[in-house]
Amino acid sequence: MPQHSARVRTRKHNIFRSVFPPDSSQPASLASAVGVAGEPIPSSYGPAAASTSSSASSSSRPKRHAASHSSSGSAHGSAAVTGRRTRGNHSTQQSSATSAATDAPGVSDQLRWDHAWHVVTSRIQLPTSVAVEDSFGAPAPESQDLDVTFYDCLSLVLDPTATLPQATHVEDILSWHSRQARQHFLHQVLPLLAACTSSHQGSHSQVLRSIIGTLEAAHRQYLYGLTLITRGFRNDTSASEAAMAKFRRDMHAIVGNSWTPELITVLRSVLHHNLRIILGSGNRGSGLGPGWSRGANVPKARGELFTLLESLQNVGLGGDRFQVLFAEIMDACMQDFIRDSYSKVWKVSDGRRNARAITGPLCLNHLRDWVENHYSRLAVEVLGRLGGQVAWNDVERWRDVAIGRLATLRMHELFDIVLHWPDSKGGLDDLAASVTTPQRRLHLTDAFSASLQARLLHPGRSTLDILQTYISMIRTFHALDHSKVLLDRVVPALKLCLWNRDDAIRIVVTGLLANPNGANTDENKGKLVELATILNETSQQHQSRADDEDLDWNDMTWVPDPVDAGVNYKRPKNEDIIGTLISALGLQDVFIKEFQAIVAERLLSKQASFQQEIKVLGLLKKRFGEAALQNCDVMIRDIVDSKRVDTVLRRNLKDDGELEASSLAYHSKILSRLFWPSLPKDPFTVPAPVVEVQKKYEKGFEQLKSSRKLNWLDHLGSATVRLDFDDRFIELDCKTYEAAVIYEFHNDDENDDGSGAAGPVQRTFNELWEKLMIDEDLLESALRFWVAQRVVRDVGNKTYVVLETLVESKQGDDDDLMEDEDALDDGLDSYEQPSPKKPKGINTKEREQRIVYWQFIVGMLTNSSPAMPLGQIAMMMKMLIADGCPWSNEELQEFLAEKIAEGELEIVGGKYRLPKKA
Amino acid sequence: MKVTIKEWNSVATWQWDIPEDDVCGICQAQFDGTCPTCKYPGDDCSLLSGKCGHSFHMHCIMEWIKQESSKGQCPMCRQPFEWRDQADETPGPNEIPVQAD
Repeated sequence: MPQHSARVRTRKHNIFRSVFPPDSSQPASLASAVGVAGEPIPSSYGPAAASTSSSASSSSRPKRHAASHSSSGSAHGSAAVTGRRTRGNHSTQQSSATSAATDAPGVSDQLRWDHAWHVVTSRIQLPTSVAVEDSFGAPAPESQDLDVTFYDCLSLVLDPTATLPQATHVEDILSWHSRQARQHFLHQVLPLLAACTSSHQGSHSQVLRSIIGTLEAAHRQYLYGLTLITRGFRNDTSASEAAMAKFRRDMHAIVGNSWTPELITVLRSVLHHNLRIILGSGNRGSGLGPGWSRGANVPKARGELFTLLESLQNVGLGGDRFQVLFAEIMDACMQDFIRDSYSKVWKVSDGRRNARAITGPLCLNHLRDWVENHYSRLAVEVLGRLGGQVAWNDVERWRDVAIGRLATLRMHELFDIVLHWPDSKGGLDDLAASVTTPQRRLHLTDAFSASLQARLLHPGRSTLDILQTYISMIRTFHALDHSKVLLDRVVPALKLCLWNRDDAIRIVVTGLLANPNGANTDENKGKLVELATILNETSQQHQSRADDEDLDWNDMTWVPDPVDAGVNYKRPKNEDIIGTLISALGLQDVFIKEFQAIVAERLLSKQASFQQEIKVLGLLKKRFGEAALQNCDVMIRDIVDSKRVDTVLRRNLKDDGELEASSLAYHSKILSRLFWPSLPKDPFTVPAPVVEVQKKYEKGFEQLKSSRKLNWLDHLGSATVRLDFDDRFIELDCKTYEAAVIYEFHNDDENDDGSGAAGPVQRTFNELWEKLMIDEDLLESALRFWVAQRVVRDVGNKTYVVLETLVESKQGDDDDLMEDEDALDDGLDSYEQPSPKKPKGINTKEREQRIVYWQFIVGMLTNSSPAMPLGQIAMMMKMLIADGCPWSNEELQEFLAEKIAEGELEIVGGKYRLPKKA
Repeated sequence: MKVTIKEWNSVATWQWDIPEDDVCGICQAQFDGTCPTCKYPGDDCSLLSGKCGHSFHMHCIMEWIKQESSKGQCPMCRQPFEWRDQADETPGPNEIPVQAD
């Protein structure tokens, strides 16, 4: 540190040197000035000067005077400075030389004036150099014992026309002083300031202090000379004040134009620091803005700031430039304050919750209060000291600016607000209160769409996530803007994304059917249980049908439509999450179809009660109308009826004594085929004992319900089987086709006593397939199931053997066991999902559809035109097929390409046609 | 291994046991569906077969017969419409034996 300051000092020294090149006429001046720290020069070398002859210099003086006159306009050249300086020296010498001859009478006016000028100027001469930046030397120690000579001379110089009418070469001492001050400032103070700012030792505030110190010292110095002069005015205070003010103005103009980038940087940093501390004080105890200048000493900062202001004002740096800088910093402070205090602050501690309930949005009010009571107050104080004015309009404008910034902050946070809903309600309140103009609304939707795209709508997000976010979005935006206009503007991208997700509807429907009471149970994991909860909320149930009315004249909460609403805008009555969600998933029909499929699946399962389904159905009916959900009604009724019919039939059969023989419990569900989603038929040979009962059951039904017959859907439904092995028995539930398959491994011990040595039953895949006449996929999945259950074992070559004893298998290969276990897992997985059923259903339906479409296309190509392009075929199909054609052009093209591959179609010149039969 | 089937829950669909075309000549809806006025198929919306061999939804043909212009004729073949009075068939409207517990 000392080394450093030494270096700085040498640098400054060099600067002085460059400004004032060592002069042979006064070799000691620089050294002595440095040594005595700026003693006024005349006293330091008066005697030496007296010894030199004065005649030459005195004769040359007027000429020099004239020269200085002529050069005063452009007094910035260094030559002029040197000239001026030498003149000063000479006059000093002369003053002492002529001091003996003053009492001699008969001197001409001009000479007297010259003499007086010398006396005065030598007294108020500024030091030619400075040693330390903060002390330009104490202002004239001998000021106490000002001699009479000086005053006499001063009065002569001040008023030459009255006292010395004959003097021709006179000059205004005041302008001379301001000129010399300007010179001094430019050539001595400025380099010093530069040295201050370029020395990076110490903090910014130290640097600033030293700059201000320098300027203040310079001012003192200049004013000292001025006060000496003004003393000459004696009683004429107004003249002295005017002179003072003029000089001050001149000086401020000079200083005010001497801003350097370094000074601005330093000042900016110091101001910023203090302002932050002062403005941050508004945060204390509000629970907001953690860490924003917490614990800083506000009174100290305030004191510092005002001292700084005062000194800046004194030295002339308080002008427009400073005010602009101050405004910039205040602006930055507001930005920082808003960002640091409110970013991600949505929730308030419980203690203040009540307060918020009264005053509305918390952050916004806090900000308003802050702007009015801290920010504006500070601005008023500061500008007041600088002589500026703050109108109330300005305060209002600042407040609006601050609110606008808060709004922008919240807009960029909106996605997080949505994710944290409802904890983030505070943030939304701010937004709702601050987003008032269409521009801001537009900005809001733009910002939100962008973050939505970046954060949610990408393949990495599961459909469930997207749907959950969407629900939060509906809620959030509803709270923000009841008109739904904003939501509609951000939603298209989301909708598009959901349309591309096949599982979206399924998730929504299962969500609706979930048990709303067990929100956190495992059963409901991965489901949109919120939907079930919403559906059961009472507020959703009474949906007022007054939507059709143009205006409800009794609606006291009516507000006009938002200005940015679209043409076909219709005011939604309530939040309507489910409605919005379903409409986002595409057409209502699609949703209902999916709902039917899922309900059908559930109805056919072994589930005993369908309370939840019936309830949801009732609620959906209110939404979509009875007709749309007619099929579901019939489905549920089928199941209920089946139960009744089943009991009747079983009683009848029992009464007949026919059912007693077998221990088989036979139940059936009888469906109305047109009202169920496609029920494929996959027949296979049902086990003999079942067939027996089934026939009786059928007969019973036909008796009961006249002129109706039954078609069995063998592969649907379930069975319970008991398997007796050599060492164990299993009783388990399985699908009917699985039961049929395992029944083929049946080996009745009693009939087979003697040849028991034949060992466990063994069947091959093909044997089973031929015997059962079962669909291959079904057979395969059934076998996998039984392998997984450790009932049969795949011994390779598509041959399966019953595992009569488990020990045996354990003795077998470990690898085998491992395989079995893998298979077990696989098997269980596939067992849990009703996988073989669902895709098959689609396939059969699609296959049927494809056949119909193919016939249609063939008919078209035969009868209407022999060759058609793809677009035309698609159009015709869309127009003429009764239910409409669900295929897109691409799907149709794919389909036609298949047909081309099969040789049933050919494409020539972009047109499809039937191949000519040879 | 001995396999015993303890329970069998099967699924079946029902359909009207009539020989001809499966669309009602009046409402053009399938027999297994409902006539336009009904909600539930089956017991609630039964069929009526005429001696001429044409069957209709009961509600449809009743509505037809009631009209003056029908002259009591079968809308398909213009023969006088008389419904078959088979022992095991529904004798008239609302007399379908509903087996309730």
